[in-house]
Amino acid sequence: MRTRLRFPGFLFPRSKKRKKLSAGRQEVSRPAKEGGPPEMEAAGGGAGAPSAAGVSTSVKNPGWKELPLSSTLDENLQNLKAVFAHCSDIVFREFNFAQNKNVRLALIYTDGLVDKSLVSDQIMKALSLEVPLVTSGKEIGKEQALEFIVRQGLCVHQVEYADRLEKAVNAVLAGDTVLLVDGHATALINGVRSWEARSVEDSLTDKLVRGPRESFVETLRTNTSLLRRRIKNPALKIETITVGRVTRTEVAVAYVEGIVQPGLLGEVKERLRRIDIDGVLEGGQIEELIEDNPLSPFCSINHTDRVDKVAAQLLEGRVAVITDGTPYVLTVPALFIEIIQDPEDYYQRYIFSSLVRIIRFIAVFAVLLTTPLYVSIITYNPELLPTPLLLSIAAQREGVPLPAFVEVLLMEFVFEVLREAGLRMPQPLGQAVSIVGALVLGEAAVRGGLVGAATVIVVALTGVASFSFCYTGSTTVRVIRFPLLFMAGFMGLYGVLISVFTLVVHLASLRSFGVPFLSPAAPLVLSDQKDFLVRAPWWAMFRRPRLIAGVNPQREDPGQKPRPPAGPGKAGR
Amino acid sequence: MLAQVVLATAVLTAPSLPIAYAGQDAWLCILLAGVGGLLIACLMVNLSRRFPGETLFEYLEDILGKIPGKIVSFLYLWFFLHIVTVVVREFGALLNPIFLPETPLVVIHILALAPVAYMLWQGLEVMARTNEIFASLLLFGVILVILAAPQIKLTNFLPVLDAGPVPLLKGTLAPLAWFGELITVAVFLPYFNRPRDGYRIAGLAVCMITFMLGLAVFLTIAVFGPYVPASYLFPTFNAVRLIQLANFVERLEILVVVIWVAGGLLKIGAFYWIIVLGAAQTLGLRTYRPLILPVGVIILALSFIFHRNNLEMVRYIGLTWPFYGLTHELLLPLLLFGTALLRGKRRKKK
Repeated sequence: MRTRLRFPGFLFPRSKKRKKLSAGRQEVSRPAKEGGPPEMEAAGGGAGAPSAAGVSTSVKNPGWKELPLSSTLDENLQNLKAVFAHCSDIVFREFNFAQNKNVRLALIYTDGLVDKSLVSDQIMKALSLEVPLVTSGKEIGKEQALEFIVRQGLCVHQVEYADRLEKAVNAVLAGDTVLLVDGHATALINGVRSWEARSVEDSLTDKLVRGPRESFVETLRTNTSLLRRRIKNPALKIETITVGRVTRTEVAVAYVEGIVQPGLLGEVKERLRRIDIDGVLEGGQIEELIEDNPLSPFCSINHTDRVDKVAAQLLEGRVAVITDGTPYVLTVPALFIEIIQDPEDYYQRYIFSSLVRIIRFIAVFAVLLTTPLYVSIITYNPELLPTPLLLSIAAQREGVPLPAFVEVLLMEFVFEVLREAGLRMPQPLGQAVSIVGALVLGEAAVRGGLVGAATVIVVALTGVASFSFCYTGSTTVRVIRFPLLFMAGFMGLYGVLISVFTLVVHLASLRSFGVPFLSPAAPLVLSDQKDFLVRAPWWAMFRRPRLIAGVNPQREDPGQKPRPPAGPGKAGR
Repeated sequence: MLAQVVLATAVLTAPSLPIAYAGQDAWLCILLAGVGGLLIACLMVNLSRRFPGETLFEYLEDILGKIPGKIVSFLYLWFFLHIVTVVVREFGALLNPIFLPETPLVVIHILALAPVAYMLWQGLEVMARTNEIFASLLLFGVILVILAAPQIKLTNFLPVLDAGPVPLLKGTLAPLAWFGELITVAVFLPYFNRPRDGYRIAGLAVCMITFMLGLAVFLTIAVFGPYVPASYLFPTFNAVRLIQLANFVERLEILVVVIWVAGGLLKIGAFYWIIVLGAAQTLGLRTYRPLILPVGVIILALSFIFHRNNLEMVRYIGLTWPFYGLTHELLLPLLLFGTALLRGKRRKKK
């Protein structure tokens, strides 16, 4: 994976960086000023081409970053060609200005990242052919050329200036087209980005019955536009910073001004700014670099690819971190309860949503506790079971050679393997094999007397329950279940109790960007109980979560409960 | 907020003592003790408010002077150490026979102290939040009483005040000593979010404890009558054991144990915290964290040294504890209060 540098929607093979990355990532992270050993340059495979202008494009020692743009076109082109040596996908196109043949122009862009028809029609054709139509024979000198081109020559919707080589290079790599004008030390950056990308589709991970289905895609711009379409308000701010020294990935921080707490926002930006890593390929990397509790199995940053969910989170005062190149958007702060919250809860009728939520809540505990309790009761305290049940379980376990603990551990292992296999297998095979595997294995194991039927039931129950709430949450719970299982095996019910206690202490000690992880349960926030285990009707949830949106807690006007219009009242009706 | 659960753990053992003395009127003992507890709590809150922002250990020196203050501080530390070892021991005494009859008691004690130490390491705030989470478990306690309804015979409470007031007062003494543990409020108060609410919080705590203890006593007497429970070590536990629903839901005593383990751990945590904090403050340390491990080991060791077996512990709780406890909980604070009044000490408000 590491040998590929992925740029938005485009595979970008730069052999040099590739070799260095795989050779030693340690070296990449050292400060740039060291003056790399010459053999590193040779290892880049180049025939010494960059050295022409004394420019090194090595990741380790990027000499070109310091260079300004020069006012002569030739020197600029030479520098840029040196920078882009061995980059076969960079296009250099030189042509002349229509009005004045002495004004030479050059276009530099990355093939595949620009809209070619735009480049040829709106930039090249406009400048090399059509300009005289506008100016009616007026002579344009070299000096006015730049100003004139921007004002009247280019038919591109977005133009920026650059006076340093680094900015021009970054623009080219980001998919913009750089226009150099002879005699000017300023480059024009034209926004004509366009590349192959996946279209907006249904969410793959967060399924729902009722509600918007759109999900984010890999392109940052598309994602921000999806968000903007939900929140049409200038208060929705989207700030961008670049993360990743090699990949130079754009990361956007989105928030709604006036709802978000300034302290939280500052903290998020500060933590993002502190990141110093060579590459960011997925939001998960950012997540691990900015989270509060790096050693905890619980994730204190949530992620989703559902647009409506992110919009709702922003409206509650959270901050979203959108990473270019991944459909998953991070939202902070994240709370424990988000494990059992689902966007659909807010669209379905509240009574049903509340029921489903409580069921999910129970499911979390079922995943966590069923097998440990089963093991400890069977092993240590069988007297706790009602006698008929105990007898039937004992009869099943008659011929089972393994102790309950080993038996359950074995079955859990088999189940996890099946699940993983079902996930990784080529799609057409996946489901069939996992079902057959589960049925055949389970049935055969029971028939063969290797495990008791009750064990299979218990393990299957936890397995199914783990699918009933959010996937990230279920991975965490699945991990924690194993230490609990061990405690159950060694110390029985007492071990389970102690573990649960420790777990609660641990959860209580967690914070996500300053907000206690267990809120609104501990610390108890009464007004937030409306969106905790039950989902109150929308006309009753007139406050935003108190600890998250501290500045501006009022969500809606209270007292909007729909009621029949006040007609001529009749007493006794 | 905090004091509520800290003390509600006496529920399990409490009934047998007053019942032994006062028979069917034991519930009156609890009420009386509740009133006494309220007085103690108010005394401590008042004392605390004279020295805002200071814990018991800090203002002891203000009242008594440096050296005597430190001596009394150590006295209190010793006292709290005593309480916590009793709780740890009780913990083992209940769990050992029920869950792990063949496991050495030491293992159980270590496993109880380890998560508590982890909790202390995380600090008071985490402890308070953990408390909040487990406080909801107490609701189950109330549900249990409802479930026990078929076993309840209200005639067990008759006749009222048959034996006269003396046994009643005798029976009040032990629960009063339990209530006296509320003096911990003197240490917790400076850490409350709103220290001004001290009276309200202490009052609320006393009410809750009275309710829970009263409930436990009510349940035991109503189920067993006045004679049997006095001989049980854990009468509430035995009462719940009798619950049976629809021939399927039975053995609900496990719920009591769950509640009790959570409560017990939190109670150990509270006193453990007071000890390490008090020790740190008496010795003038900046943080109590380095003390957690040594104090834990001391508690572990003392929990075996103080009581060689369960019977000795029961005897201690019944006979020695009320007087020993009340000395520290009522007598000393009263003396302190008097001294503070006489010497007119009062920390100047900034």
